[in-house]
Amino acid sequence: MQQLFHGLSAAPGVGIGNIYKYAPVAADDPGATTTHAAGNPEDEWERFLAARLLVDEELARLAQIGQTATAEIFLVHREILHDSTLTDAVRAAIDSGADATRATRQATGELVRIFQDLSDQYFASRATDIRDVGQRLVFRLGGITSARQLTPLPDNTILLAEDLTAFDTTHLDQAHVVGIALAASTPTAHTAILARSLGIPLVCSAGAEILQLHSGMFAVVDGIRGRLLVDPDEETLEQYELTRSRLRRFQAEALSHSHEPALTPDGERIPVRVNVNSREDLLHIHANGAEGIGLLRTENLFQHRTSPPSVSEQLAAYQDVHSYTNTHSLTVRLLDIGGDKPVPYLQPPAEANPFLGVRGIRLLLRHPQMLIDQAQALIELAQNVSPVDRIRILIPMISKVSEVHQTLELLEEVPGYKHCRHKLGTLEVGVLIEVPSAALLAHHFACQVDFLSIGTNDLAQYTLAADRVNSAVATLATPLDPSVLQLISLTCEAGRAAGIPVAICGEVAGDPSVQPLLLGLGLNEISVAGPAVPLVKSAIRRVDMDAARELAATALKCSRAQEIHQLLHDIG
Amino acid sequence: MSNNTHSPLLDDHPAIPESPAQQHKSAVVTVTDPRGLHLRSGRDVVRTASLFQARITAANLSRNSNAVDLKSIIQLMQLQARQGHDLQLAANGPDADAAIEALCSLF
Repeated sequence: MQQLFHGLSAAPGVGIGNIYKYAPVAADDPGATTTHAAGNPEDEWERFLAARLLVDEELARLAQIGQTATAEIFLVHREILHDSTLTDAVRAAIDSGADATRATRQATGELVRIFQDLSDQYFASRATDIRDVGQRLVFRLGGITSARQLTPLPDNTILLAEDLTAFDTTHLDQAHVVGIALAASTPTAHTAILARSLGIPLVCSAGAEILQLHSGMFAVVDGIRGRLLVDPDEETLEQYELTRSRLRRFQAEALSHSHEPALTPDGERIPVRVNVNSREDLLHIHANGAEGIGLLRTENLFQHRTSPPSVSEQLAAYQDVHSYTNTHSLTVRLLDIGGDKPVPYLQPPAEANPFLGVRGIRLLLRHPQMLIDQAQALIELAQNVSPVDRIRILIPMISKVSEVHQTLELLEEVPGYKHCRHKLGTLEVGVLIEVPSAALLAHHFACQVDFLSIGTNDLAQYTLAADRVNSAVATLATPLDPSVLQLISLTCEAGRAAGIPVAICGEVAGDPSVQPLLLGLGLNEISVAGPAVPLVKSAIRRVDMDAARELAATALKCSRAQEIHQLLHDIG
Repeated sequence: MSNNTHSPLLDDHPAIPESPAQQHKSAVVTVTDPRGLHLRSGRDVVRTASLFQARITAANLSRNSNAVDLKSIIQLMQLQARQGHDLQLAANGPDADAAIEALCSLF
């Protein structure tokens, strides 16, 4: 039976093959140390220094080849290599009788543990950098490392691990690894940067459950949507095989044009933006060629505290994010929180089903001051930006027309709102279409807002009444279901009639092969995970709008998701 | 990091001018980089600190951390310094004044 694991997309592409589960030898595992009899401390210290020189040369070489982002990694690793904290610890271990290899393992192992215990995730993951340098040293000293565990690997290997160091990634058998799935790590970790530069699809943060899987299991790594599928059913596998061959064709081309705008052959310009979940996502906006932020989630600002953030606190946070958009627009989703993420100061009622309860705008309308404060911060930001880089307020979880009206009435009272929205043109207000009723009624409120944005993940879940995190029903909630396409089409019609753009920000938008369908349905703007930007732009450049509209018309007549997949395949 | 947001606060000692060999100097700086004192910016700090003879330490006041050796990137990372955190820099040695001045300019 097919098993689906959700993670984060860290390097795009699709890999199909057999799992190889990698468990690194612990840095200080004495069993992993070769039985080299320790010489006298001076000799061992000389061995260490000789190995360090070799590693230093190797890192200097690596820093000269790759791109800037990868070069940075190796420069920092050189710094760690020469760090007195590390070398003092090695020297001390050698002086107390250890050979150079064991001393290196001990010293790096202890430091790795110290870092792993740090509370801040960014700094805790620096453990990987130290382990990396340790591995390089041990390798040069002749000890067992991943370089000997990860090479050679069988054809079509899906590498599965808790985490990988940059050393692991540069030493793995690149010719035979077709995908990587990690239980931990983040899309901005060094391994993700390297995987992107190597063109190996990578899904990270897939959860500890994936470590229960075994070597030899058949699996698909979907680096576009951030998924690991084990034992995919025939139909799904076929889809992935098609996607994979399509991707290979234009992957290379996409990367070389990522900084150019996405224009269809008819000259229609489609802005491609990024969805931002964390601070780390900001760092790659420019590198991927994204034109601003299409969805900034703000929940993190409000959680894990005892009172709501003040206007000035919020303003500082939004200014910070805005500084990364590089004169492009910034779309900020108003606080979208519900009973599943309790925030103490809101005293949320206990709900049996928070996804159908008081969340998003429903919650904000019950706490109008929260809405006003958040809007105030965004309006203050809008007062100081140029008209090209607009600030867009996105209202989540709208299900009734009256909720749009109530929200707009509250916003009107916020100082500066009218000035920014109607005079300066630096503020826009839009509705997130994620509840079927909002799509059905969009024509009633489209003329009162400046844009619509379709959140296909929730729209599919709510339309098909299927939880996409519940693997037993997740495949039901496909955004390519004809029912969801009808709702997308209605939303686009409403936008067109009102003369406002319609964006899409669900994960399906990151799939290059669906771009003709999306544009044919009438979508004007795309927002995706950072790594997907180059491929999506490239796909848009191939969309013939007449053919796309025809495709969409045909798709809207389909009764089954499978027919729609087939259509996409036929045109691909 | 920008270099204009925080001026160093003088510590208790400089009221009496000391002989160059025994300079003590400290300052509090605030991390302004949105990414915090991460590996890359940390490297600049370590490199600058390493240019001086003085023994230089830093403590993260916002996390109540112990002082660490500012000439070690490994120790600097253990400060877990995020944007807005206050760091107490302290230098001891013949070029302590110059060291603190140079380091403050990085924040």
